[in-house]
Amino acid sequence: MPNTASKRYVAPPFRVVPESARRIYRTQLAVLALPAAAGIVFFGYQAAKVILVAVLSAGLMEFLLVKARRRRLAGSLSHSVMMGLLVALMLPADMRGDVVIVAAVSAVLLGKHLFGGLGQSIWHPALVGRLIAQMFYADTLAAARGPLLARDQLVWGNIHQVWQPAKDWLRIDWFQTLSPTGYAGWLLTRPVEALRQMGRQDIIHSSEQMAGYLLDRLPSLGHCLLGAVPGGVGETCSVLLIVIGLYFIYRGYLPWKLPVMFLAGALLGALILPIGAGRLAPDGSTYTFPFLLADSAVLLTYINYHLFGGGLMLGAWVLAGEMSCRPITGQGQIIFGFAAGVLTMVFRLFTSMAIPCYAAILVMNSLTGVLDRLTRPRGPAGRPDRRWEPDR
Amino acid sequence: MTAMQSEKLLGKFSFRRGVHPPHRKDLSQSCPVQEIRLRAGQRVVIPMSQHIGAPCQPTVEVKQQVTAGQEVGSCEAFVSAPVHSPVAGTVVEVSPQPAAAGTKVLSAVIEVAEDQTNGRPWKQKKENQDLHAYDSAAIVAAIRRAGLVGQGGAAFPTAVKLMPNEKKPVDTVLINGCECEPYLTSDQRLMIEAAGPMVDGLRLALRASGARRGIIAIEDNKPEAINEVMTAIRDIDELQLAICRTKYPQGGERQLIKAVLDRVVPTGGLPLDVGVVVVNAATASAIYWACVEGRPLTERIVTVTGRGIKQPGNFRLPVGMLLSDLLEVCGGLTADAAKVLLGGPMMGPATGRLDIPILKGTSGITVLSRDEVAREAEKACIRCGRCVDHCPLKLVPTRIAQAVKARSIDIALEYDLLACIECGCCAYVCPSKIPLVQYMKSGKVMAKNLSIK
Repeated sequence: MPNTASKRYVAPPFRVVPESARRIYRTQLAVLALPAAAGIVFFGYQAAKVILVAVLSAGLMEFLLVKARRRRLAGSLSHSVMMGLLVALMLPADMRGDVVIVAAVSAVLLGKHLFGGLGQSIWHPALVGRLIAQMFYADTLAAARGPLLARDQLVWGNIHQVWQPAKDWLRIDWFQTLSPTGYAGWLLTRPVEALRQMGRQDIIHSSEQMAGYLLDRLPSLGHCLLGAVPGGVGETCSVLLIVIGLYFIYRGYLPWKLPVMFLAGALLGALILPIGAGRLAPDGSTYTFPFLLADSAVLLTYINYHLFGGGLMLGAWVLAGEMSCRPITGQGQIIFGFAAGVLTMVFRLFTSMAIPCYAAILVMNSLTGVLDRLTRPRGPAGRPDRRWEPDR
Repeated sequence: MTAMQSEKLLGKFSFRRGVHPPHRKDLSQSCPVQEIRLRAGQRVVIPMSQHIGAPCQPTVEVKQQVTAGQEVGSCEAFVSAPVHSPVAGTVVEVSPQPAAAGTKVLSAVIEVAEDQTNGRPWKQKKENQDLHAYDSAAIVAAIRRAGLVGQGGAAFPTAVKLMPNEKKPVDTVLINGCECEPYLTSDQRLMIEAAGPMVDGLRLALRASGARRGIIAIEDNKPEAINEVMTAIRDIDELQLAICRTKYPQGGERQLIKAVLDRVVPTGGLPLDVGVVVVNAATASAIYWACVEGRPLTERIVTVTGRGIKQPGNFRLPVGMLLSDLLEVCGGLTADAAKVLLGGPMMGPATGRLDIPILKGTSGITVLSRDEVAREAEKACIRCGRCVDHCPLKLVPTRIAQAVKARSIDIALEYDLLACIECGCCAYVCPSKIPLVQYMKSGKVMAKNLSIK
């Protein structure tokens, strides 16, 4: 029996199939350059710095670990570099270098190689890195506001020189507004954080009230789709993330059930989870169920902000699909995606953690083994086909 | 084809999952079947076990003269099939002889006495045959005497399949003309050139098993065969033609039954459990000749194909002919030949030696050239799930393989190891080139040893 990796075992089926682990990861890496590029456009060259630091430290860590473990695996380097890139995509562009290095190194070291390397990790390595960075740099990373370059300062604007408005929130029409003099952009509230504050600060009990809130404090949905909102380097450009997710599905790297069920779960969560129930001293009148709102247009807008306003797109189309951490059975993927979607909404609305979507995926990653076992295909074993009756 | 769908023509059937390997049948599908005759002095090797079930005991001795078609080994066991000499000649040896997979099997070696003359006709059915003259018992007895086994590869004794069973009535006999294995074209040529005997063989099988309906299943990449068979069954009420989509493993018994009849054969069960008997196209033809003429199974059609052979083709040859003799007839191997496979590239095991005989169940010899064989090391599983997406039985091959690697057979069994039909789809699509089928096979052996203890 072939037990050693070095043995060249030749047995049927005899085939030349071009697909390999290395090719899969290289393709994914190449495609993920698109949201990275979008991040550089919207957040300037500082974003490129974050990406470069993350990718280099992840690659270097992988190199050292391969040397130390004396175990080479085809595709492992591309995978680690991809993890570094994903870490960068999840961090804001104005992040300090040490935060990025800690996140990328712990992704490769603790998320991946601690569990045995390529294909063995229980939790998505990049998310592990992001979580560890969150633990160590909670103050830096928990900010509800993030910088955004103005339309005339793209790529070459310095993300550290942004104008900070005095009040909590500021609504900017990015397409129409030029940068304030002397600044490259603004420090704005992230769309999803604005949504979360809605439940915490104001009591919403009618469609009009919610419509007013959304109109006042959130950028228009077009901004969220295009990516002209503050957030992680690669989180914001929803359109691009959907496109690369569809490409992954086309290439067979991502089962369609995962993102579809993820979005369905998030949609359902946004629809039925009450707004404002997480507030202290609940007296029954403080929370509202979104589906009870009279105006369906307002409701739809509210849900859309939840879907497109934060890290959910990156989570659903890219992060949830990490091969070693997702269930292998179709049923398992359906449950995984749906539960992760609902959990995202639960974490967003009822907790104050800074990375609700990523935490939801991490929680579901822990359950992958259980899901695989529960949904293992039992085949036609043991149960004869009851539908069949003799023709005579 | 869809336009002419009717009572007679059913289509198009398929099953879920599976793979689409390049079928490469163009190498040999237009080569008419040539008959190979042995010369005096050549030897044939007749192994006593060419089937699933109890091996035969030799009924001849060394130096004994045998005639063509004489029984050289037989067995009283229920699941067994006698073997016959394809040639007239002298028994030179009764001893273990090399066989496929590196084992040795007790065989009778027969030296051909004189050059073989032209064989008996096999393409046209006989005139004025009344199939109603045969009753079930007579047909089954004739099939048993003739030593028929499934010629598709598994070599299960046909008589056992067709024997009427009170507890498990059969309502349908399926002829498997799918030949989903890439490269192989022997059944295809048989259907094109000799559809008549095959169709009457199916009618005899219907009479033997008491079934009412006969269906001939052919994949849609063989339009010529579909036309021939359609002409042959036009006036026969109980027969139908089912067209299946070209997909591997469409010709697997379970997949075929699921596709055409939508019945699921239970794991460890036989098609009989769902009222179906599946007979290979070549076997159906052999059933006809066994009943009508009492002709034993001593000849079969074998495809010799692949980039590594100089003259690919389809040959009707004596069972027991040596592989080396056959390759010589085909002009020998090319310079870059790398692997000689007994069967097609999906399931056919490679053979290390060429002095082994062609068996009743050998439907093809595929000689792959060096660039057709991937030689890559096994790598770590990245859990991409491609094996799960393609397994026609909805198994999780990678999980079973891991369990087998760790010698945890109970986990492998829990994941339904025994349902695996070893079709090779999982290993075919694996990007890490893990020999999943071999793990499955090892696991089955381990499970067997475990249950014996």
